[in-house]
Amino acid sequence: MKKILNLTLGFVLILIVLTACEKITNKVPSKSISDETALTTYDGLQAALLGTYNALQNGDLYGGNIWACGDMLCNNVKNSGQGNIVYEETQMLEKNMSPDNRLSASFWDRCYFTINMANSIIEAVPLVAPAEEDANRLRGECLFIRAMIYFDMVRYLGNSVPGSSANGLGVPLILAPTGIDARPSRNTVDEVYAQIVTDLTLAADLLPASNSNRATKWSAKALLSRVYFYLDQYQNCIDISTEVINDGGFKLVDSVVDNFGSTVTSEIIFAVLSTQTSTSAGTLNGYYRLASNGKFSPSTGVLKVFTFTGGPDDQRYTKFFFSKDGKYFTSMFDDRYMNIPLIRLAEVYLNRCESRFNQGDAQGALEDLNVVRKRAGVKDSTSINSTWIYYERFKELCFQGDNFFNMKRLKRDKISGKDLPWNDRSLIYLIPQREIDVNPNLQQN
Amino acid sequence: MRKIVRLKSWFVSIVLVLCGLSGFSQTGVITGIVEDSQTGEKIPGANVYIEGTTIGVSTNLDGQYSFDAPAGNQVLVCSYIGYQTMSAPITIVQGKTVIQNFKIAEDNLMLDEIVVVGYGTERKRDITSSITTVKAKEIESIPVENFGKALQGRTPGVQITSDNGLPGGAVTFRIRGTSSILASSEPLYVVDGVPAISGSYTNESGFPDKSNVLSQIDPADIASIEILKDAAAAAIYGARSSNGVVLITTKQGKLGKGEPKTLFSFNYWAGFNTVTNRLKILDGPAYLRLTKEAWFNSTMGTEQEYYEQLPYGIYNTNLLFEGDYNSFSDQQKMETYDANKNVIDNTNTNWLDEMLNTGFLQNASLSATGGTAKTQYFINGAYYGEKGFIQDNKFKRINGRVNFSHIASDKFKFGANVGVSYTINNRVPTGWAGGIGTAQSRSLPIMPVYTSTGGFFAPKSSNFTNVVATRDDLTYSANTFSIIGNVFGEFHFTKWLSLRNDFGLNNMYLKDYKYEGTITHENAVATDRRVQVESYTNLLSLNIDKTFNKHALSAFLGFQVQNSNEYGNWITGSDFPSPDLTQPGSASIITADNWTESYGFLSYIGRATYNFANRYYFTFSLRRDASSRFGPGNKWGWFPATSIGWTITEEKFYPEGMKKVLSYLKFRTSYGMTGNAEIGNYRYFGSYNSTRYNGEPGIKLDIIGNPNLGWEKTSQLDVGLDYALWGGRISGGFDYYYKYTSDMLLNVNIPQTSGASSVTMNVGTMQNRGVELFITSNNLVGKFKWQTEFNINNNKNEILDIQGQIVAGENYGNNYAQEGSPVGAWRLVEYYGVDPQTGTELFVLADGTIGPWDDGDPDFFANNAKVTGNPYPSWFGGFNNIFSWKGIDASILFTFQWGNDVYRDDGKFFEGGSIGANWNQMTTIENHWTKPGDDAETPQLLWENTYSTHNSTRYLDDGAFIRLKTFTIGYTLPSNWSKTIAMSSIRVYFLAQNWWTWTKYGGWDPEVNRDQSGNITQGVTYLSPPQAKTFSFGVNLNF
Repeated sequence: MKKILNLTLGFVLILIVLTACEKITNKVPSKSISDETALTTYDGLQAALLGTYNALQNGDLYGGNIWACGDMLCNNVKNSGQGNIVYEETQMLEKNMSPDNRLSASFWDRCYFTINMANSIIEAVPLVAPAEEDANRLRGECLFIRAMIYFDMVRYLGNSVPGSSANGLGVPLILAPTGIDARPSRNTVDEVYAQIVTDLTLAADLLPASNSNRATKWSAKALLSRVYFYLDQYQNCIDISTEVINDGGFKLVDSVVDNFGSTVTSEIIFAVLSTQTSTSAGTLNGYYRLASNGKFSPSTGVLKVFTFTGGPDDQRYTKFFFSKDGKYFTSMFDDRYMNIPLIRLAEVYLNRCESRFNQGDAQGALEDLNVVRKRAGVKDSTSINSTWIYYERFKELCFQGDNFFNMKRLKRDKISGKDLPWNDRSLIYLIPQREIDVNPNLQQN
Repeated sequence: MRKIVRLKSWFVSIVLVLCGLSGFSQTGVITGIVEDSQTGEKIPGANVYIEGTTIGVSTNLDGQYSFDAPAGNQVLVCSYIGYQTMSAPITIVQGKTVIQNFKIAEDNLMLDEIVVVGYGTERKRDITSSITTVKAKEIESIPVENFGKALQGRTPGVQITSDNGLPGGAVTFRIRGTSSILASSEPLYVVDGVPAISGSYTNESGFPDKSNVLSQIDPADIASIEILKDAAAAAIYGARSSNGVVLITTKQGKLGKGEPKTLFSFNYWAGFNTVTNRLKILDGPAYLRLTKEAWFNSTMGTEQEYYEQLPYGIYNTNLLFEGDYNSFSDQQKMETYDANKNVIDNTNTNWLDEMLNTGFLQNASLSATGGTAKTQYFINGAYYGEKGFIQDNKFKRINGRVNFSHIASDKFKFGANVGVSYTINNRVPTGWAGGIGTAQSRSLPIMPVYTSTGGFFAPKSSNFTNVVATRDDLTYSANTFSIIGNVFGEFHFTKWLSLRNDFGLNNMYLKDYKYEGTITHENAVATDRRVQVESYTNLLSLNIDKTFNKHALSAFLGFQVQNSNEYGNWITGSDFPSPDLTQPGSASIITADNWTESYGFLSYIGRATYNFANRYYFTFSLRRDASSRFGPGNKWGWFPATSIGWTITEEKFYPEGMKKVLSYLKFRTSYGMTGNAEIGNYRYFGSYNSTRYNGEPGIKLDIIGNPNLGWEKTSQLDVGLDYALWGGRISGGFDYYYKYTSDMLLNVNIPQTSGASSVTMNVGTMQNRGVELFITSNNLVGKFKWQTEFNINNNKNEILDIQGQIVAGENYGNNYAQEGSPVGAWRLVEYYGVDPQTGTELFVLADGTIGPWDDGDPDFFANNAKVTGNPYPSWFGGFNNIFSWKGIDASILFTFQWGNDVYRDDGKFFEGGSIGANWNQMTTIENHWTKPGDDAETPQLLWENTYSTHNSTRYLDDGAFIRLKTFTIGYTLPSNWSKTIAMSSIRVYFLAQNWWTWTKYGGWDPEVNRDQSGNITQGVTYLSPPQAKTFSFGVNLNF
């Protein structure tokens, strides 16, 4: 009857609607891609690799704080009176960092974010199995980045405080994505360094000699030169530095300032790059640039090093420092589109110089020293001792994330102008309180 | 043979079919007049009919009726909404006329009144769940743009806070407390069965205060608002109803009898408004005097040095002479100093006066409603315009509505309700972002608005803001068009079985445009931003409604889908070639972005209701819902609910004598589970998003996903009773509720070594419990009527388990979510007072001793802060008295709340005692410490801003208040006067809103929420605007 017809019509309608509508509950975002599919193609891996480089540009990493915090801790910088020094910066200048110091906590966070990106790519490469040279390059670049980050982490966080229960501890070594349940504990400083050396040695094999201004085999070797230098493994340092100097095809530029601009010069072995639409040096501009009301200016100690160790013609002084109304500022970070030159040929010379000196080859050390001095416009030195070497390195790498670490490496007194031993607890970062709260396996410094 | 059906009286009043009298050959005539038994007024539209039949008519405008009826002994019934039904036995004589008049009495019990419940209606007597109803006449004519602001004080169990007094501003609803931390605690708003778009979609850059899309709805369209509070009522909307449901039903026409007649109603009101209160801040001379004192206290400098260090722009080194100040002669420097000092000493700008004014509002609406036997309609058109109490802040709305339904045959009925609305909101920056926020703080009274040469004073300075210049330089308009509507078709297979389909749509199109010119910026900036939301819903349902003997059974089976798509984009241009070019596309530097989001819900719903003899009631409902917002592992949820009722007074054993006193008593209890899905659309989705490096595109990890992300669930128990005494002379109800929220969404901290620092999981629990009490009392019922309505409500919230986390609030203000405390409680150091010996602040430290704040200890706050206070009131309610005498009517509504605190986050800068040369101060600092032994409210005045980090209870004020919320007095012209101009009634009235407030609170207004408030950040003000006090006059014409 009509009623039955109506009823069946009704039910059929319901069935049609039911089946069609299930998909209304499956929605995915339009501006992001699933983490399950992002790394399943070669293009995805390459894009993620560029995302990892982008992570290095962050102001809490090479975009600023990795360089600047060391200078705060050794008081290479002081309040310029222009801008606004904030709480966490004051803690570093005063040497009373708390576990929730925003600078050290963000550093930890950004480092592990980047390490996780690199690990995700390394893990995915064999599953995607692209062509061998692409696979090698991808792995090599990620290993290089990972090693570079662990190197800065272990130097900021590694504990060598006598009597401390955390003495000898570095950072947790995460070599593959862990998932959200893992609670890793800290590896020792030695283990971290061993991994860094392994990773860089492997990267040097996998990476090509040239790679669109990103990491190359020479970047890996040059970084390894720095690592051996910090490990006091002088012969290794000499050997690898020699490879870079002789075979890398790099050449010192005549004007040091050129390295701090937007071109990748012949001297730069690895830099974090900037473009007009994606700058890297914003944080550094903000810290130092007079026109940006930069809050930091060079301390009297820094100025003394330049003025007392001779060379009023030293272009590293004349081109990078200036005075206005009786106050001194640095112009090293004035260029808004500058690349951040993390490894330069000059440093490799200095690594080899000090290593040669420590191995007894004073003549070779002197030659290397003078290469750097000559470019800087200072007349050649006729003799060499560890003091000259220290100050030359200081001047060449001033404000570039090396001075503080080198002082600790040499176990100098009065690193911060205060009467503190080189391995005092107040000179190392604390592990962020948030991390300690959530991971009971971590031991605080 | 016509079926004889036992019809319920309400059904009769809606559907009265004028039946032909075929089949009956012997008839007589019945006629008469129906009057109100108290007032003698004639009652038009009352239904008079022969009991047990459909033979009858409704009375005309004069209360008269007349119709033919079969001869013999009959029972004549007279019924009318709001009145008790009367019946009288009559004998009809063939060919003769019988007169039967009725004097009907008001039905104070209103038990047969219709209440809208989820997916249908029920009689009030049959409700076993907890529902608050507000009728149109309570909220009509209240001069606010948003119905939420009109409901305050009238809704037991529902706490409504207007965040600020700006038109189009946010209104916060909390039904039985806050039930979530990460998900929204706002209820679901449903208009005629269509879930409405709610929330804020306007550009927040520069305008951090949220706006409210619900301002699109014209309060005059609303016939009633039902707020479903417990699990059983809300379970029918289950999946999204953990926070309650606000059901809005728009006006419908009435099916009529006889000649179709249209009733017109024209309403116009106009009024003005101002701020409820003004903060007392220093004027020019007082500012100079007190800041100089602070200067001398701290710096040991000279007075000249004080003037010279005032920020650039106030102290103008080139006021008299050009050139470098350092090269001036001493004489020139002296003269420059004197000239500047003279200007500064004589400038006394009241910046608040510059920015505030008396607002003006008006509203005009015209509606037409009517019906024939088969069709009813309601049409409305309205205009609302407001110039707010802040200059340049305007809100205009123009809206229209057409509602109709038609009975096509005895088997098929259809209809539609459609409302369109267009608003133009010229917003102004508030709070920290500018406008009156800056006018009261960083605009100092010693700064002039204009220079002596006529231009703005320092319009481009980066040290401070000339808010008048900024105001003149800013053009902002948010234009929103929205349409909300539904279409339904209902097919009756049999009398008790019907199939119905409802299709609903709610679309919103917003364009917001902002232009900041070159008066205050180097380069002009313009932003054009568009958001559109397109949402639809479709409900297919089967209804069963069967009554036999004393059993009444109804059942509902439904299948519903909802889908919503949101599209947005913006384009910003800066640096224009000419001030006449103001569109972003004309600029030389252009940036743009766009986004697309969507969500969907799928539901299977079942509900069964049974009642025996209107005495025993039982309801059971069950839903199964899925949402696109949850992970593939956990999309679905089951949401059952049940309620039971027992009307004692219907029992046979209930003595008739008692019925005269306790006329009605019903116990009811309900228990059920509801869900909350109001989180972001894609939280479960682990994702990478786009980035770039060295000119090439890249991707970066964004969110670590949780494929098991699922529903937040709230189970709620409600126990209540409804009663009436002396035939309804006094009536009311009482509820006790307990809500337990589990599987609460929380950002659980994970170690950063996993690559991210948190992941969203369902792990928390929270509880709310409280009581609600409401009483309606008809104190006087003679010629002079006096009715009182009183409601008082309590809520106690406690967070049970959030993994030991202390979750910070959505914005600054020191509110936190922590276990063992109510959500939003503050963490503050306890303030003790001013040390009479040293004039510094003293605090109660963690170990109980009294001491100063140690600025050198970075952990001082963490070690000494205590959990204190509660932004949500523990008790709140309303007290309304309604009077009428002859044609005059008056009502006075008070709203009250206590147990809540307000934290003045700006207090540290306003009256802390440490002054920088960058904030004006409150006049309370006049009472400050000057020498040892002084007992003062404010510490010694100091020049640095050291106290700005001292987050203490010093600025935590008691936020309790009583407000004279609404005062109305109106006069309805006698009907013979209005008839002379062909009007059926004319009423004129005066209405005041927020007239007076009694409070101990020391800021602008204790009812406040700062920009970007949420579940945790509540009860905080940071330069936030107050409420509006409005006075209006209006006229209603019905014809």
